[in-house]
Amino acid sequence: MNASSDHDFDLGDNERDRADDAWLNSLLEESLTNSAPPDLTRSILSRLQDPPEVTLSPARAESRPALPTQTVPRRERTSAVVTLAIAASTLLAIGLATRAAFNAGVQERETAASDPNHVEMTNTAAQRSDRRPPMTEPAEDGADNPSGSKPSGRVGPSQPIDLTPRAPTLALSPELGESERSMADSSDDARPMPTAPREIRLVGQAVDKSLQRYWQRLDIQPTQKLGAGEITEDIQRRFGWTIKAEDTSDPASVQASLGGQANHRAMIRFVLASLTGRQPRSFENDRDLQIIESVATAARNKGGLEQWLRDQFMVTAADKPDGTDWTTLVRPLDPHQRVVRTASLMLSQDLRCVRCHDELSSGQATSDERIEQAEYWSVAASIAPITSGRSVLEQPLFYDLPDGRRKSAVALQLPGWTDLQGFSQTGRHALARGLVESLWNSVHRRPLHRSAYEPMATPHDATLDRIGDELSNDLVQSGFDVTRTLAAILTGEAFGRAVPQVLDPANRFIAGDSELLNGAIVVDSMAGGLPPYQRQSASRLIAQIRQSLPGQHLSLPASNAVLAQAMPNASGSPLPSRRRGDDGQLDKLGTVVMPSRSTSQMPAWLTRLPSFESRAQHMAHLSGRLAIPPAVSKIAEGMRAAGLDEDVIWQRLSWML
Amino acid sequence: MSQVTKEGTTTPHERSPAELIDRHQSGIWRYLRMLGCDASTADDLTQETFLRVLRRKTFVQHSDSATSEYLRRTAYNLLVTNHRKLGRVHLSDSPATLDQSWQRWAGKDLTGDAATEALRDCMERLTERARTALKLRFVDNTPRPLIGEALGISDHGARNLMQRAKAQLRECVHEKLNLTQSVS
Repeated sequence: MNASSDHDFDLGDNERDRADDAWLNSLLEESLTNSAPPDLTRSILSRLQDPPEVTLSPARAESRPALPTQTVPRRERTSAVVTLAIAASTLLAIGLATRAAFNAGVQERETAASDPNHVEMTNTAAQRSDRRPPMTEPAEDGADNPSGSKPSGRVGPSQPIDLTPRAPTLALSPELGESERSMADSSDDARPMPTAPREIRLVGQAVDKSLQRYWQRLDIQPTQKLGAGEITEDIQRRFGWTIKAEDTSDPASVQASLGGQANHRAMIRFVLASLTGRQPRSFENDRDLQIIESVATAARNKGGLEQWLRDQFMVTAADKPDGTDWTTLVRPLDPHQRVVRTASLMLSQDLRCVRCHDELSSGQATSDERIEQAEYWSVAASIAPITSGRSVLEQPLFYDLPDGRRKSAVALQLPGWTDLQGFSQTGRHALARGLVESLWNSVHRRPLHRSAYEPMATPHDATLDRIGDELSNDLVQSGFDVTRTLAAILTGEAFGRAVPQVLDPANRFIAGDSELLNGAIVVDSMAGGLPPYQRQSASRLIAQIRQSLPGQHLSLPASNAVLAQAMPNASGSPLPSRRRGDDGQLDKLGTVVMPSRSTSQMPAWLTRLPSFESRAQHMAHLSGRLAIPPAVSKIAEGMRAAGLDEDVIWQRLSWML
Repeated sequence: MSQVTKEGTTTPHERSPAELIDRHQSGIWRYLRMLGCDASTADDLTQETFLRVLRRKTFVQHSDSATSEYLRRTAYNLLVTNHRKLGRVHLSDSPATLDQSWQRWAGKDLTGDAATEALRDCMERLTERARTALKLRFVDNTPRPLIGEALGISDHGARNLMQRAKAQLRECVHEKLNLTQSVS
């Protein structure tokens, strides 16, 4: 071995040694666990034969929370004038070329529209990319260029797009470079929108197809669908909507039911609860009820809900000194939640982490994907008239820099806001997407968009994005008729599925770890129902454990067992409570909804935090809260004192929050 | 069928998709594992990597080593984009550093098979205690203090034992790889 080789294999702290160590670790794991690389040839070739289902790549999904080119006032783009000037000159230079390409696309689309089958063609913008030199570095588009170092002027790989009649989403494709994206954005506004949406049945079918493909990819077998009667009961119990059993599989009938007198107000209440993150039952004061009434009236007309939403977000402090209906609706939330909720709906931004962090904790966020702390506060300042009814001119907003200095947040004219005000397609689609994701999350209690920062076992996938696209395009085309969206979700493949047997309360103590994990994956991927909320006394819980494990000597300290299964009693908790209002006290109840073993791997960033308190605090932030509620905090401490595995604690906390 | 040198540096003819996958999938899978992916994530991203590249009409196969590098960059970017949980393996920020490491460990045959084989042989040279410690660590995910307890040594003792074992393995694997290369 020569000297340089010796050096190569010396142990040390430098980067090269760490990389070598990683190699050795992975090879050791492979050798010791006999986990050799699988033969994926058949699977890849089979998928290669399928038409690519990707209209938006996973890159978009991951970068979506930031959408920096559309909505975030970046440091290098603090001057809106400069940005506009650059965009305008770019548009002038390449506008004609785009128009020609777009016209060609429209012609083909019109031809294709006569064919009821799903027709695919090659993206004209992407076709241009075929002319780039071969074997360039793969870092040129969203997925392949996370560093975003060379985004402009280059376009992504050739990629077929879906030509089912719907609003164009080309403008949002990450496969386009920045200039192309802004160009496409502007051309979007000139595109004629389809006059009528597709049949809701077809939208539902497209959503189901994507979902089935997602399950197929994850190799997941969905659980049985519940019977129509059970689905009806579930809808009635959870949402308070009355839908006939015979209608539960027909989207058009469900849509009609939701729009009927009996359900319409309850549905609007649910929609507002989804958007604000409040519990539907919390809308109880006169002002809230008035707002529900006015939104219900507006939503009766085509485009009425969209107009109401725009009215909320286009206001300035001078227009309405007390703020808008939205200001009233989000007032019960803490300031951080207000900003997170408003930005999520209005700007399609995920701002949960950037209140405190310049760079997200994976360390992999790139310049184009990340939102910096200062930008969070700029967004907060910009939407202050909406969230608090006061502009930062009247009531300055200060924040602390990492070095301890205090700085005043500056309100900026947000590009996303401009999109909304300008009634552009980009603005409409962002708004619709925010609405769809909120509704999906509220109905399924599992998010459509999977962030890598959440303790979620199943990965994000382009097919999930496609579901979001289908539903949000339909929402735009239907003039923001949310009854259609809800009907498609309620009659879809993911709704009304049985709880995996292994997660059934009766089986949770006898199930093996791998079975339990598989069950959790089925639930996380929306292929199975969530375990029911159910309460049990501590003694029954212990009896159940003894019954599940016959013949074994069990010494269960009652205090720990109770503590480990304690449930929060804080008002506003999503879990039912026997002694409401007794905030801060542990309810001496066990509940089968709580995981008894960890079923998901906690994100690496969580394990890198310095203390238990810090990890708990971050779990609160992840749920969009500024701080962890006192009762939940006590429970977390109690579980820790009982010696519970931290993964189980965080999983439980994520369920509680 | 194209002819490939042992070093995988030249391919006179383009490989078919099936041949290409067969040639490189093990290497890409191991590369992703080295980046910290668990086996399932490595499976998924390996598939995505090949789909991306094979669907790219501009993709040209100059040589196996160039293709391998191209695939690795795509895999790396997909991993970064997906922001998946990285597990316990420390990920270097620099793809260039990772590539250098790749060349040292798997660059000889582009798959990592030789390194894995060499490692299996080298494991036999370790003491029983060292092998036990590594098995507890990598198979059972046993925390270090418990490994120490199982072996009757302290936490630091367990750490030193595993560090020495790994250093020994590095050196042994490297010797074997160099020997293989010089023979071929």
